[in-house]
Amino acid sequence: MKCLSGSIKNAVQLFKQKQISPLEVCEAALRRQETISRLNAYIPNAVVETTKSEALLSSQRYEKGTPLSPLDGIPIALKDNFCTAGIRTTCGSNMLKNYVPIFSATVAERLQKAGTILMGKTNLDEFAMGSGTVDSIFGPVKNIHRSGLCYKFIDTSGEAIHTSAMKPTGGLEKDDFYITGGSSGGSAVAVAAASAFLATGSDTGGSVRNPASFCGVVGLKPSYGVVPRHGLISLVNSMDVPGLFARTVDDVAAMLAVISGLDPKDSTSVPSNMKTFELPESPSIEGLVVGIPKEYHRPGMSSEIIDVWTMIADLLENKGAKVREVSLPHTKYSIVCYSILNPCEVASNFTRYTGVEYGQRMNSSQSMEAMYALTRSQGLNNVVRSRILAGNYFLLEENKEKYFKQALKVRRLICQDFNKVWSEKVNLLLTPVTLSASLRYSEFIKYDNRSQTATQDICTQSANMAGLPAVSIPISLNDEGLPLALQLMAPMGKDVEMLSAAKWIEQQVGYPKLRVIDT
Amino acid sequence: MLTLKQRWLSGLWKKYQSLPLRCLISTSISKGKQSKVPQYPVDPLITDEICESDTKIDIELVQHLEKLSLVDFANKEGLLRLQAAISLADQLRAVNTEGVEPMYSVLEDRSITLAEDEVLIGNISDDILGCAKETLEDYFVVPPGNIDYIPEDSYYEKLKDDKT
Repeated sequence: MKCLSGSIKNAVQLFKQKQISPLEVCEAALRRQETISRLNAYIPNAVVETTKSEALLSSQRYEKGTPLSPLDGIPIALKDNFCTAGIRTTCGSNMLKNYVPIFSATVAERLQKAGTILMGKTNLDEFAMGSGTVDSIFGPVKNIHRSGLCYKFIDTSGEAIHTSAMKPTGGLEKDDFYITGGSSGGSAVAVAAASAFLATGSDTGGSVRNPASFCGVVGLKPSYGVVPRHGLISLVNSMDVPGLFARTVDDVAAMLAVISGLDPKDSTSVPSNMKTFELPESPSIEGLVVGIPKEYHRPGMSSEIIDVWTMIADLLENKGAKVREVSLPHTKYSIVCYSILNPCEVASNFTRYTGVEYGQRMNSSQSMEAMYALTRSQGLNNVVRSRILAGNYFLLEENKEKYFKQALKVRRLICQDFNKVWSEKVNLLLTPVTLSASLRYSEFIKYDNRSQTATQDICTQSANMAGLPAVSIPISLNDEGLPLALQLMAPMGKDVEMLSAAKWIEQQVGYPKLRVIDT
Repeated sequence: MLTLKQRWLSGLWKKYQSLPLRCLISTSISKGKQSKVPQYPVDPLITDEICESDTKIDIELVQHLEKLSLVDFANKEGLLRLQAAISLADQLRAVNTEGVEPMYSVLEDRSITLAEDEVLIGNISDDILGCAKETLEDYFVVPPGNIDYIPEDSYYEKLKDDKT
């Protein structure tokens, strides 16, 4: 079904003209989920039973001409760290393997009220800790690119002349595969393969933008607080944001309109006016000041990433934007800073997993403490346990000043760098998202989770430190047929302006559409 | 070994010319003007600037942290991971933060909306208790508390052995 890999606007138009019904699209999306099942994008056995009946209800609403919102009938997926009432929510962990929440995350609730159809929960690194989506109790998620599944690239019409049809699409040898990036890899694949139009992720250090860039979809990290966190299972409270995946910038914008806005249940949510907005048909970049933070050319960055960065910067400059080199001298410390703040907040947040009130419980007659310890050893993987320990080390009375407080001070320095750039009238920053295109699984697992996160989040983490909006936009395919992407960042609250510029870039580059061939 | 800059000079432009997107740029910026994107790394890796950390972890510290965290390291690998995490964190000590205030939240400069002091959801104690594995009447059930968790005797011996 063509409509499945098209835009939301197109699908909704077809719904309204009664050329196709939400139920039919839902059935096609379920078939697609079946086709891509070996990519492991969805949590197994979590197929939402109500999916078809919800789709039927949506079909009836269109029959009556009373759709609930511009997203009514659209198939979506939720990362499995968003609580869904009555639907198992695992965080990819043994600890919550059988946990069925009694409430839904605000984001899930808003999407449901808008009439979207929940197709399933997506796989992730355990408790969203990772940058590869390889550390889940359900196994790693595989990138659709070069997975061995049948797909082709279709060039979008427009000025850009791609040669995407000639890019390799065949599978890798010896069961190897390309990673999706992470930690929201399942959501990125779900959207890239068109088993859903939209998916949520969560972004604490780059967990949405990183997989978006490896999978060739748009990934938005909104400004901190714009999209409520209530019901998103916490990793690092002061940096977590629900993130958005879609295949086009317009679709991301449509989703942002639905899920943004103040939530009384989340004390860190902020009022915003993104409920009703539409990006301009043909956005302009005339007079826009775009900063190129020079420090983002990191040692070890692949030349193809530098190439697309250079090309888009030059393109912006040639088409009327003012492009300037700027300096963010403390960004290079953001990863180290994060390597302290993350474990500190984790050590505190994860005290809730005791096995007493919910989740896995290992019994011990010895003592309550022994029961806790056994439960946590069984329930949490090495990565999570290591972070809890490291966090408690950094928070020891004698270490607090040296590590935790020092990291919080460096956090301020990182934020001040950004503020200085914004005060110099810079509207946006253009940077790479990752050091390279996706990596082979066999390469990726040579290093442990901690060092991978330290390497992979290098261009994305600082936006979380400062609460800024940032978006990953696919630009082109490399010779291996893998996506290359760039990132835009903007001042806090300027999400819409940033998306407008992202749409301009999207229109210019005409990134090819990936079309899965159902078997 | 070629330096990064030499690598750039030799390889980059060839590749740059051949990429399909090249056609997007009608008038090349490189004519007379240079791209604003730096073509070689500007900043060194911070590990190049700072010497290795000297923090050492002993068994007493391990025991203390395990007690606080209610988890175990269980093996040498876990110890090494903690050591590595501390070494990485030590790099931050080199940053001059004199006179800088710690930043706890990015919302520090605005008022946060407070919720009204009213009950929005109620009468769900059965649902909440339903999530627990062991309950009695309206209570969660746990074994006797305030007893330090003591791993089996051989545990720390094994950790010491692993270390050597």
